[in-house]
Amino acid sequence: MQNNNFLKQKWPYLLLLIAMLLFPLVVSSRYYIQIMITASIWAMATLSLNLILGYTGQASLAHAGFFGIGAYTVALTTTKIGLSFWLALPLAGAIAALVGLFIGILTLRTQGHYFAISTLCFGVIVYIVAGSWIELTKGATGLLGIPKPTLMALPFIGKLSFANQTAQYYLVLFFLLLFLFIMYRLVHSLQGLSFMAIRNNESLAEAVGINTFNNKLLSFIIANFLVGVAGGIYAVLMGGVSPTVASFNLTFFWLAYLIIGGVATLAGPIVGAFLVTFLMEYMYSMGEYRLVIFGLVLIVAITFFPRGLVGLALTLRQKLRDNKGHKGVGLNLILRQKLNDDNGQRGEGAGDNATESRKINETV
Amino acid sequence: MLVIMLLKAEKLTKQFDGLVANNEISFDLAKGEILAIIGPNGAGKSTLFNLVSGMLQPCAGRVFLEGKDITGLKPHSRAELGISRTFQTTTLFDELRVMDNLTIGYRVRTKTGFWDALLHTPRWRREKEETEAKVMETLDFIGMREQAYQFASTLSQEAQKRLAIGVAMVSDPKIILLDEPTAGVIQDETDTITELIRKLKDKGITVCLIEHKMRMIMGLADRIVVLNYGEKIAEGSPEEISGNPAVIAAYLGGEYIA
Repeated sequence: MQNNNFLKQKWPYLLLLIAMLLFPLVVSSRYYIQIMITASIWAMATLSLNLILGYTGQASLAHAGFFGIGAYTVALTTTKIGLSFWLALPLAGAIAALVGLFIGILTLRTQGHYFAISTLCFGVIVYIVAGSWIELTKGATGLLGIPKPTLMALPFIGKLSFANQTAQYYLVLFFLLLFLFIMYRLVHSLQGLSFMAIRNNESLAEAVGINTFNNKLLSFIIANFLVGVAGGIYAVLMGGVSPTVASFNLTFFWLAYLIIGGVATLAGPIVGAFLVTFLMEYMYSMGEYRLVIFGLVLIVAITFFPRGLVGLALTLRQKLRDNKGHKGVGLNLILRQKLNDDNGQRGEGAGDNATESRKINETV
Repeated sequence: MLVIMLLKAEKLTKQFDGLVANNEISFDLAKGEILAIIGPNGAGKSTLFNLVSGMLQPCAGRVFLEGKDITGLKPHSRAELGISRTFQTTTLFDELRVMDNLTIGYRVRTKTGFWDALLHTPRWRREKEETEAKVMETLDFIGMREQAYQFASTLSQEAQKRLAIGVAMVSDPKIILLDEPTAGVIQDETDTITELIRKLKDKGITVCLIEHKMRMIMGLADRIVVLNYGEKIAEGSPEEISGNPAVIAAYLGGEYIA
C-alpha cells in the first residue's frame, strides 16, 4: 500500500530517471551526450550555490572560485604527484571547504550586499592567482593531460575505465544524483530549517537560539565542498584546466540558471542548468545575440516568477490541491500525517456522536 | 519568605550618540510573576528589552540569570539558557508555515546537524519525534492546530501575535519577554492574548512584558516598572502605580481615573 502510494506520487521522477539512464543508449550523438555531461556539471554547481544563496540567503559570488580550487586540486595532484582520481576528488572538496572556512570566517561577518561584494572579490582573486602563478598553474596555458579515471578493480566486471563518453556520462549522472540526495536530506531536516530561518529572518533566528554565524559558516563550507567536487569532476572529464574554470562569469551563469529554474527549490537548479544549457546550444548560430535574449529571459523571470519555473509549478500545484481540499506540502512530513490522523479521529468521534444521538432519537 | 530572583538587571545604561536611552536601570524578576514595563513612547522600554535579551550590549551595568552573569552573551546563547522574546512589530518566519515556525522555535533544544540529516542517525529520528510532539503540544496551547499548514504571512494580526508567543515558548524558556503583545490588535481580540499570557504564567513561565493598554496591564500584571526619559521613576503593584503622583504626572496624565 505504501509502495503503491510512493509510485503514485513519484512516477514522474522515476520516469525521468529511467529516461536519463537510457539516454546514451538511445541517443547515439556524441554531441548531445557531451551537452548532457556539461549541463550535469553545471547543475551540480548550481545545486550547491542554491544551498548558500537559495536556502541560507547568503549571496556568495565566490562560487566559481571554489569550483576552480577543486579543478586545480585534481589537475595538480593527478599530474604532478600521480595521485589517483578517486583520492584527488575528495581532496578537491576538502581543500575547497577548508579555504571556504577561512574565507567564511572573514566574509560572513558582513551582511547582504557587502557579503556579495567581498565574496566576489575573493572569486576574482582566485581567477587572478590561477592566471599569474605560472610556476604552479602554467598561467593562461593551464594544466593539460589529466589522466581519465579508472575504477578500482571490481569483481566480475574487471577494471572499468572512464575513457569512453558513455561511462563518463554515467559517472556525472551518479554524482548529480548524489548531490541531489544530499540536498534533499539536508533541506528536509531540522538543520535545513535552521538555514531557511536565517534566510527568512536573521534576527528572529538569533533570538530563538540559532547560532546564526555558525550555521551560515556550515552552509558555506558544505556548498564549497560540493562545488569543489564538481570542479574536480569537470577537470578530469575535460582533461585539463585553465584559469577560466575560476572565472566569475561562471558564477553569474549559475546564478542565472538558479533564478530561471527556481531559487530555494530542489529541482530548480537542475531544471535551470539543463534548460539554459540546451537553449544556448540550440541558438548557437546566433552568436553574441544569445546573451541579449538570455538577459531578457532573466529580467522576465526575476520580475514575474521570483521563484523560477519550479516555483511557478509548485504554486500552481498548490492551488490545484487547495481547490481539491488537499492539505499543503509541509517540510515536516510525519507531522502532517499525524495531524491528518488526529483530525480524522476527531471527525470519526463526531460521527459516533451523530449516530448515538440518532439512536437516542429513535428510542425516543 | 524566600524569593528566588530569576533575573536581575543591575544599573543598565545605554547611550546612542549621547542620547541616554537607559540610565542606570535596575529591576528584578521573581520566578513565576508577570512584570509589566510601561512608559510613554521613547521612554527606553524596547532598549531595555534589547539589553536583557542580548540584541544590544549595555554601555554599563550587568544582567544576571539565576545569579549567573550573562552580560556578554549573544542572543542565541541567552535563548539556550532560557530567555525568549517576541518583537514589537510582529516578527515571524513569514515565508514558512505555522508548524515550521514552531519547529524552528524548538531548534535550540535539538542538536541535529549535517551528518545526522544526511545519514538519518538515531539522533535525527529521536529529535524529529521529540520536536513533533512539542510542536503539536504548542499548537494546542496557542489554539492554532487548524492553521498548522498555513503560511505565517496569511494569518490575521491577532493569530500572528499568538504564533509569535508560541515560537517563543515552544522551547520551554524560563522567561519570556513580550514586546507589546497586543500592538495592532483590536480591543475585542486582546482578550485571547491576555488569556494566553495568563496560561503562560500557569505553566510556570515568568513573563516580562511591555504594554500600552493600561486597562489590560492593571488586570494582568503582578508588578509594574515605570520608565520615563530612560529613567526608572516608579515600581510597585498596579494599585501603587495607579496612585503614584510621579507616574500620573509623567505618564498617565491628569485625565486618568484610577
